[in-house]
Amino acid sequence: MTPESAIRLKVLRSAPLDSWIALSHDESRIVAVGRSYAEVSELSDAAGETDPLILKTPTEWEPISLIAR
Amino acid sequence: MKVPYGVYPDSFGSHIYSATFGVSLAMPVRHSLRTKRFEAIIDSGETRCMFHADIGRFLGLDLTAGHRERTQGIGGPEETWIHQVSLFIPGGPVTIFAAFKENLPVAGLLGMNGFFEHFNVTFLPQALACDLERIGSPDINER
Repeated sequence: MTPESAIRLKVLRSAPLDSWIALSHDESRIVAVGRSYAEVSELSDAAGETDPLILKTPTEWEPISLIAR
Repeated sequence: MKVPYGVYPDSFGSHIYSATFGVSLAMPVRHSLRTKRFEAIIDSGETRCMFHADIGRFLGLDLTAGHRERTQGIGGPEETWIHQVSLFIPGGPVTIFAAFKENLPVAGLLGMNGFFEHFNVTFLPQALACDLERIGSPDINER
């Protein structure tokens, strides 16, 4: 695993589940957490992050293949 | 362009990799509100691109005013709402018909219609990355 991936994994393990999170551009830290996309977008602006990467965290970290389509 | 797989925790305290890509969406109208970059899963098993309903609401979509579509998946039938949006991808944005769904466990899924039709996609398991080669042209009304 690359050092960048190891940092990202550690960050995601610390992230609240069933939430929207904004990662810093280099994915090394969480800059905002929200209950909706709109909220996390606004909070990442307030945190001064100009190019965040926004993710939706699941209720549990389970294989993605179990997603109902 | 080579895109590294995204790493995620798994339920065993270890980790898994998934092919993901940061994209953004807007309404297909000039100067409309555009989302920030969000992480979506590259999923050839998905008939069309699908996004969390929250993102549609952020764009100002009246979700249930879209075309209602029932989709079949591993978990059974699901209700989605189809809307036309601009998908921002390398090489220029494209206008696509995308599904929006409540309670999607991820922000988005990049499927056959709307995403794979615009790229030659090569999965590189040893490099833990995928290679995306854009094919075709962006929309005429590229912003």
